[in-house]
Amino acid sequence: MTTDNSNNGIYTFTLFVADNKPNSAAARRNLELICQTCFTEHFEIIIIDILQNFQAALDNDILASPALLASLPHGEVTIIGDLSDTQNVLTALGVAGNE
Amino acid sequence: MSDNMAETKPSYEALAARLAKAESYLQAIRSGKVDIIVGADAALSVQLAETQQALEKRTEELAKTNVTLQNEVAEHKQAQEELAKYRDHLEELVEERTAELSRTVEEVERQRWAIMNVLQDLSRSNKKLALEIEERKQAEEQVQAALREKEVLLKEIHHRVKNNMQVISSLLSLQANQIEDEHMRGLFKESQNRIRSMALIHEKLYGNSDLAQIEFEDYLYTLASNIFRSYLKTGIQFIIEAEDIFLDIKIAIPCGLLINELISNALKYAFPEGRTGNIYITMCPTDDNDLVITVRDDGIGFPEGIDFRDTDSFGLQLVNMMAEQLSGTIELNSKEGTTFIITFPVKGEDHE
Repeated sequence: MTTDNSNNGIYTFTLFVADNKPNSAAARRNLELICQTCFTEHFEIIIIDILQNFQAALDNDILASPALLASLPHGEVTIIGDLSDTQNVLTALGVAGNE
Repeated sequence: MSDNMAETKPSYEALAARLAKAESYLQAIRSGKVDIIVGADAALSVQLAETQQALEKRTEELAKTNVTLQNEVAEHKQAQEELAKYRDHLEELVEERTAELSRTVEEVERQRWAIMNVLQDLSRSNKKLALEIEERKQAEEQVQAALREKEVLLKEIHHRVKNNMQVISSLLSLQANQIEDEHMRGLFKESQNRIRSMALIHEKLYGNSDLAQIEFEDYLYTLASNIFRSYLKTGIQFIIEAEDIFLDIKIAIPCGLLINELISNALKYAFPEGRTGNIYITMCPTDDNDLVITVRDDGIGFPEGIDFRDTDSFGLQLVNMMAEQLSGTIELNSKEGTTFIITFPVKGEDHE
């Protein structure tokens, strides 16, 4: 996977939020925290407020917010929730084993 | 995990992934980690947990509120019951007070009526009294007027009596002038003097504010002056002491006549041949309500052997008559001149 990662370039995290509602705000903070600790480089964060851009949610098949659509070298992963369970998030992103 | 044949038929893996995805959605939703559910054409706000918590909180609050409310309701009930009791009591009180008040009002009204009646009576009797007073005033005025009229009449009468006496006196005087006999002329003069002494009483009366009584000292001066003038004797003086003697006409006339005679007698007989001297006339009351007239001269004295009670002298007879009329006594003292003392009562005014 590391090879893939280097080949493909960057991780893209698209976080779908709903304005600044509690879970959405928590998700944003948690994502930034995770990115800063585990992905020191090669990442891009896109925040989409589905209250502003509803079509984006439909287009990406997002059914609830906050939801993180992570484009990884090995595919896409969708994580629903405020990303407070860091361990699970890292596992889902396929990072936990690496550390 | 790429699937190339996804176009035609979803693979088992794809379905499983979707299922897993759905599961994860559900789990997230259940655990309250989701803000929004994306519906077919709108975002649905999901705040189940929040809502639930809020609901629970609200329920708790409501329960608390409920308890509070129940307590309050109970308190209210109690308060209301108490209030009702109070109100009943108050109503009773109010009724009582109202009854009391109405009784008082009635009483006041009764008293007011009574007072009004009394006032009416008073004003009626007041009017009556005012009328009576007015009538009395009028009556008094009438009486006063009548009295004034009577006084005027009385004065008029005294005046006329005096005038008539003056006329008699003048007639006597005129007639005396035609008499050649001196003795006879003297008798006429004496009569004239007697009449003048009476006329003088009337003159003093009508000239006086008091029509009933005569101030006698003044009268005596005039009387004595007149007599002295008629006898034309020189060197003889009269001294009069009669302070505060007031006599009414019934006594004044005999007194006047009596003194007239005694002065005349003294002038005629006490000072012969140019002898000089004094004639004292005094009047003074005694403690027994008597009046004492003293006519004294310091002349030759009363001749011995003559009883003044039984003489031919008309003058002395007159003195006796007048003394009798006054119910008085006569005393004669012949030492050092002649002194006649006549004492008579003045209290009983009804001398006939």
